[in-house]
Amino acid sequence: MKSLLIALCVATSMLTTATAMAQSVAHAATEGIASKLIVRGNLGGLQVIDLRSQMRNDVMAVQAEVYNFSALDSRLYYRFRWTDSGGMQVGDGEVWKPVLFLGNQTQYLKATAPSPRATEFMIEMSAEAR
Amino acid sequence: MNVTKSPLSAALLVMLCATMLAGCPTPTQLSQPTVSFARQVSYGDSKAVETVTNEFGSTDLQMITEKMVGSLLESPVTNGRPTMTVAAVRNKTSEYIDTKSILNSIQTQLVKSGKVRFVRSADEMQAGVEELQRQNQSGLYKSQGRAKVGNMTAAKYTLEGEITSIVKQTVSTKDVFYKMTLKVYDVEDGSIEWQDEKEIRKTSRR
Repeated sequence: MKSLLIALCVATSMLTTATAMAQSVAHAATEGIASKLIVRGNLGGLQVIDLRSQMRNDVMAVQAEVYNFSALDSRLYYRFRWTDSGGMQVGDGEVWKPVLFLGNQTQYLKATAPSPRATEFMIEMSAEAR
Repeated sequence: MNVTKSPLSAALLVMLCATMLAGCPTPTQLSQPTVSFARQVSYGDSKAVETVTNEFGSTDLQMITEKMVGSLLESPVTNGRPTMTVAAVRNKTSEYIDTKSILNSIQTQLVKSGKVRFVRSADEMQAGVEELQRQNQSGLYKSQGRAKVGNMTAAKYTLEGEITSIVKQTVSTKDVFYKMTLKVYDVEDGSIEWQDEKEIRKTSRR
């Protein structure tokens, strides 16, 4: 009886995960935004719906708005990659940062270039069901 | 012994054999440029999110550094490559944190940005004074190229701050909230020219 219950729990958990994956949407709202993203696997219900950058005091500041289309919570890991005009990496690379998204929640991801030499950026992303 | 040979058990046997074969070294397998043959030690990604325990860790240090450096670079306080020096970050948490390491990381990123010049801090001054004395008072050096006493550049700003924590714990859950505050003071008039905070919440369950 106990093993049957455990099996039932595992099956339910797998079904929940499968449902979450089935709800995956395109990771970017537009092709222009998608060209700035490096996505590992799929982001489930997460989608970058807005992306903007501006120069502040000679350095580039970037803000991405991410929406969780799923009602399930999700954890996003992200980091920005900065390159100069010649495509060479600027700095040592950022640390991966975890962000928790509740169901149907919007959050901003913000970053500032490590130097005025950084003129291009990409956002690397990876997500898991919470 | 009566063994029932079902298609499922046959498939499991095939999978087991395949797994065992995959683990065996083949003649084409190349050795790796390592000294130790032990498999217990491995290098990982220094930028990965570390969640081994919920005490202050490498990811916290790196996230604080990124936030503070980014905020400072955006601020007009860095206009004109001002001179800065580091003071101290007070540790007001209940655990040991190497706050000098936090300031070092922030200083490194600011120096690499090229937007700020750092001068010797109070901690680093002794070594500088000794080198100046060696060049000027030992009689070993010719006057040309010798660093002269009295030409050090003073810092316009100092960086200082504090890190605090709030810990809440039940039998099954531990929640730690860290708050790092960093300030840039104008040395001459004592005013705060820039200030920012980084908050981090870490929760662990048994």
